[in-house]
Amino acid sequence: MLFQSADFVIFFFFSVLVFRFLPDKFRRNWLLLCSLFFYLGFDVRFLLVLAPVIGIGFLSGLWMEHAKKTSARKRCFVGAVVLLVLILVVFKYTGFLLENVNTLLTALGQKPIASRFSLILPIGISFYLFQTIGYLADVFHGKISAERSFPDYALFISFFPQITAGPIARADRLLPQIRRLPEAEKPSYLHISSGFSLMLWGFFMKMVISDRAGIFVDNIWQNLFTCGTVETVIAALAFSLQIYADFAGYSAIAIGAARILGLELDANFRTPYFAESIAGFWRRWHISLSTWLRDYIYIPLGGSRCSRIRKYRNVMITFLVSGIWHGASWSFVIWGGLHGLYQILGDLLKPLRRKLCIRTGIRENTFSFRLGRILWTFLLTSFAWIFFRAGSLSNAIYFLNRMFTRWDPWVLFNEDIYAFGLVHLEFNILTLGTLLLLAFDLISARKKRDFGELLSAQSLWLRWLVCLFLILSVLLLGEYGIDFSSGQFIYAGF
Amino acid sequence: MTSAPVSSSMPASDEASLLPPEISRYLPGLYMMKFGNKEMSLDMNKNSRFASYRNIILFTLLTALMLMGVYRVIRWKDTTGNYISSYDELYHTPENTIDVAFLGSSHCYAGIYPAVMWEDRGVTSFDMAVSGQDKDSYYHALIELLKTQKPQVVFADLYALTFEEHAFIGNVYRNLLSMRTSSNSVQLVTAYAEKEDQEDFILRWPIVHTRYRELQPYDFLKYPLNDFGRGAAYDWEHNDVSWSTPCTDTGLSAPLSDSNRKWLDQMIRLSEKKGFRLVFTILPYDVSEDDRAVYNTVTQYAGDAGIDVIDFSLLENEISLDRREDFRDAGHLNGFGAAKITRYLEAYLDTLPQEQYLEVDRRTDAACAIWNRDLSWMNQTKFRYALDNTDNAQDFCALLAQTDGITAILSLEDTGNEHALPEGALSFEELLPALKPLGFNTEIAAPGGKWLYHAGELTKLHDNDDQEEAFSMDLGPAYSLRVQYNGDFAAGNLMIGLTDYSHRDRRLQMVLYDNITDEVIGSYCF
Repeated sequence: MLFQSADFVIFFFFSVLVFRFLPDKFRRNWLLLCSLFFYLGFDVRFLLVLAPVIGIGFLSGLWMEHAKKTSARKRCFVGAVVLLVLILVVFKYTGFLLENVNTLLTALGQKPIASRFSLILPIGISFYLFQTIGYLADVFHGKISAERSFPDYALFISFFPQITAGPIARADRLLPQIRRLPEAEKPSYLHISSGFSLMLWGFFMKMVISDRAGIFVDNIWQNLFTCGTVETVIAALAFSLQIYADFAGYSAIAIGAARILGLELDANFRTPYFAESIAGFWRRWHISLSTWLRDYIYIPLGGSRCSRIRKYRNVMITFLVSGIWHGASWSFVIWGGLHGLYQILGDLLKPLRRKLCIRTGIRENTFSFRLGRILWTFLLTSFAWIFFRAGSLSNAIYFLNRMFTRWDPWVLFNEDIYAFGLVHLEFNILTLGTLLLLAFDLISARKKRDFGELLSAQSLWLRWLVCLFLILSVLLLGEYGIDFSSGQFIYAGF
Repeated sequence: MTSAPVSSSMPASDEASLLPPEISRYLPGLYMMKFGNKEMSLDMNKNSRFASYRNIILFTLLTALMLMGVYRVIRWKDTTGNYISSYDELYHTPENTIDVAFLGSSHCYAGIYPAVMWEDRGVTSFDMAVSGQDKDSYYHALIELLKTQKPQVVFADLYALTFEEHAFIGNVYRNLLSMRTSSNSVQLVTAYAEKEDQEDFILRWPIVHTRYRELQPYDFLKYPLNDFGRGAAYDWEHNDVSWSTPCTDTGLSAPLSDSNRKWLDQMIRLSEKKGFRLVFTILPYDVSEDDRAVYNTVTQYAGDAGIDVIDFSLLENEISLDRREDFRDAGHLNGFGAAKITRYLEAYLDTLPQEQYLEVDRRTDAACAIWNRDLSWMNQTKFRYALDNTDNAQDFCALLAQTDGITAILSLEDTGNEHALPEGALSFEELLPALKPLGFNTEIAAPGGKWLYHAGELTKLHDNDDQEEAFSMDLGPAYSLRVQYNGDFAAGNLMIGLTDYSHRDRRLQMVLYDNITDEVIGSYCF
């Protein structure tokens, strides 16, 4: 059930309606039921993975808490994590590993291993496995106590707004809210209004901006043989827009939906393209993942409180894990590696940059300097996204080859650029949508509030006007319907 | 002793301390926010709860109103003229006025002209036709018609029995989206569309929302033909379609498919239930051997059920259909052929017993006035065809002077500048006699200028004098005219919208505007 489908709208409306009028004590169970219905709606077989993951997490948490010896706690923790990672490897990386082993065997003149069966990839598996591991780590380190109510824990892992693509919830934030559900007051009108407008904004980002940019990007990638520098550069920038609007749009829908149901999920984006450095970018992009990686990989490895070499090793390991987490392909590994490299180079070159600024008299706190840094960071991330989008290393290399070897500025003037799926009108809609996104990000960065919060603080007529505009834009200009094979959210594939 | 409920009056700080600040901000019932100058509590007390529900209901209503307004614009419509759906015309027909209905695809709307029947006998007939109408659409189109009409006779063309699915997605849209939403339209969708597409077809919006890319004036304005059209697509162009298939029965037959049997039974049952005489037709086209085999089987089946089948593809000689003159293409008749078919059907109706068909001349019935307008429209299309096929100024102007349905904008250069004209162009002296039927004489025409000719009246709009400012006027709801003088044979002298109709190598330029359809017919120069 895609968020941007009529089925989801009906399902969500029904879920909220029943939630609203159900006796308080049944609300948790109702949400759990809805979550299972939502998730199993993709494929009933996914239960074969979700159920064991929930079971392992729940029982291991209790076991760790009851274990008297630290070694027993540790064994239990390591065992559970190994088991969870194994599940992830089996379902997500078997094909990738087999492919690489076969490449090696073929190179050595050996017979490749034939794959006897293909496994389905349960949607959102990387997200709920990381959430489970995070929960177990918190219990192991004594940050939280293990959850004793199975329905509460099952809802924590499977809560439908976030199960397919996050945000990866932290147990110390979400579990207390779930426990409070039976006695907490029902969400107020403001919750509903704020959540509703946040969801609308998410739909706008996904269906009006992201999917429209995606048409152009897909057309370029499908017709690379005829594209040169200008098309590929625009496609790279357009993909930066597409993936941001897609994932931030998804996150807005998820957070908005949860808010309507009285649960507050952590923010996943904070105007990432306004970051002045790659490190800053990762503090603003997919925050739930980057903080997870920071807390459960980077810091346990030693973080930055160690030698410079070890620090750089830790950075690189963290980003390589991030890369492979995103997808079973070398291009994702390179994407992660590039981000690690950016950070290491940025750190290494920082003294040089400072010296250069002092010598040339450039003041680092000026608007123009900061804008330059923002643009430079955006270009670096956009370059890295090429590997993310490519799907394979050979595709990425071909794309870069076209980008750097065929200079074709005339396509900007002879209208060839409009032959890649977006005619003038569609380009104008995309441009207008992007400007709206930029304007909102500027306000959001200044006020440090999400769309729902910002809009809720406005007068009634403005709230309604904006909501009506968003409803109309999404329904009229959104990419969906019989002629459009609506894509799943990009991150739901991870 | 009662336990204290979780109360909205509980201090915010106590409640908030349980959770991190970013979560506690959202604790229900404790959130204070400024609305304009008023600080209002968002406690769900009785008053605010009432206001909340009121706001939700009002917002929902407002959204629904907005979407309904937008849907009226983007809904699927037949305003292009290239493909036909007669639903909108049906919905503009007064109740219980249609005595004879014709069902079918393009074969029907091209091959049977209700205006002919009206002109000949005052019989109110209607083409309930949609391009490529399939069996399911056919049946449900008839049900839709029967909601408001009680035809005595229904002629149903059998072309739909030769295929199971549409070859063009456009025809699926025309058939499934142009009926008003009702249980009938939902039944049609569930009968025809693939399961995964049914939701989109029932909701419609997921399909038609992309029409924002192609919106035209008539998506916003009322399309005049929908007010009075009787389903026919008038066309008088002819092409020689002398195909090799003889108009004889091959004698071949094919097994009756389940879907065809089901459809035939449905139609027969419906005719019995609703009490109309059902007659099957096969309108003339280049019938393949496979199609002929299907028709033969169906004819046998219908005959056994007591239903007449009129196979026009076998009656070409009897009704004197001329493959060189009466067809617009190998699949469709033109107006001349349609008149022959329609008159044959008039004669067929005469043969029916009175208890099945009682002919009524409704020409004096005020409720049936739209048939008169349709007849005028048919005559207008015939007139336009004649104009298009007139290549000399004399005949052209003489024809133009005979109609009130067309407005002409004329631009005439003065008597000088003969050297600017290409060889063979008419001189002023040669042109003047041709212009006389429109009210021109030497005195009027000699200085040149721009005129409007409408309903026998000639009105000068602009002199060929560069001292004067441009003259502009609206021709209809969607077109605006501007005439000015930029010099002899110069660009920009005659503009309709942003299209420049200025003549560059002829003395006389005429742009014709159709007063019935509010559209520019075309540009003619002599």
